[in-house]
Amino acid sequence: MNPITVLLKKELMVEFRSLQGIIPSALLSFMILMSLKFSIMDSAVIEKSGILWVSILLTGLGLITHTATREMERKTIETLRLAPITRYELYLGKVFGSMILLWILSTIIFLLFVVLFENVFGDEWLTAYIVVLIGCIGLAAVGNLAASSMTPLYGGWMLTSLFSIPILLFTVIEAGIKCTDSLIEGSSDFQIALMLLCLYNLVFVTGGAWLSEISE
Amino acid sequence: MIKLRNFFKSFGPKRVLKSLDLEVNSGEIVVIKGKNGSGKTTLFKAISTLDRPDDYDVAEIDDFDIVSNSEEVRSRIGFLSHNPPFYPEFTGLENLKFWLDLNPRETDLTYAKELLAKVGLISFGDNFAGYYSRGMIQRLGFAMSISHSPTTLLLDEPFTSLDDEGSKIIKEHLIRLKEEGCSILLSSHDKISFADRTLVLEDGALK
Repeated sequence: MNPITVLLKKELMVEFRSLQGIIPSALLSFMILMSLKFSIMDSAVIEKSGILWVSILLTGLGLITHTATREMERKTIETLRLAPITRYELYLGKVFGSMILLWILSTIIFLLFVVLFENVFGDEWLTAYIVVLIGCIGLAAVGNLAASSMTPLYGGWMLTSLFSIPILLFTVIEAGIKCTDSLIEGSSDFQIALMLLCLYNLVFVTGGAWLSEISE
Repeated sequence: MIKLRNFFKSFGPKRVLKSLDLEVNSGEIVVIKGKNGSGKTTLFKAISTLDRPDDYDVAEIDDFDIVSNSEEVRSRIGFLSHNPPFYPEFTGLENLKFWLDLNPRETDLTYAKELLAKVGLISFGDNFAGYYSRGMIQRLGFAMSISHSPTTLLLDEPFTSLDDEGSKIIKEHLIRLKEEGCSILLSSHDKISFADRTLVLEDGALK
């Protein structure tokens, strides 16, 4: 079996058997969405998709940090680092594992957002959902890169988010918001924003794999 | 075969290993003794590629440089840390199979079961490793370290927490592996009767 597939399978099995990451992250996203639902009265904000992406960004990074910290605390990261596999295979195995977990989490968040904010996407909800899933790829790539370098440090769980948010905010999240907002407004910017989102994903996944390899 | 010459490793301002020389030939068991904090674990981690040495003239496993050929080196070593890591959500068998799947050698579930039987864990193979005792984890870790037929074994206090039966099983395996030509470096606070040489790590060097 390909090592990336082995690592992906491991990531999912560990999470599905413990549910220590998905359930708290889903509950946290519910609380974030509820807080924003009751605190934001400005219809210009409510009728856009920024709230959705902020929820995914914060709880998604929390989920990635949790899986990385768990690996570090148990020292199972040593088992992975001792395996005769390249560093980019190790990185991609973790990215794809996190990506699937983020897809599950994002599905929950998307459903909560649609219910709580009265489906601002209208008939375009399926396209918006697919855009969210695409955005998760970049989130997984940056989150894992940050987690692998930050979790060995004291306070690494916090540093991962501090490092990732500025990078993601002005790239993946901005492009994602532009995509979904153009769906809401029915504007023609959708395709450009989607291309930009895919480009950011490509840069972050390949860049992360390259950095992992040279950091050896 | 392990070959280290003029090997240095520091942690911050503290030089833990200073100009260390070591050679372990094929079919040889070398024991390293030393006080707590003398640098035994640091040495094992540096040889295993988990930590990078600061400087060295020679640092090779089977003539492969441990820094520039780290992937090749990792495929040749079996490493057992004094606190073997494992996934508590996996059964003992799944932990072993996961490790085997990360190695290039083609193996199946039967091979993994045979290995567990060899370390006396087969009846616990389907139990979650999170419920294993410390000694059982040590046996599982040992099974993982020898599972991919390494040419070099690095065992950091392999007899920790083992009962008499567990110690006997590991001793028998080590003697068999030595006869098959494996280079074995292990650390222990106890006397190891079957070792070829015993060295003491003191002030960052082996004496």
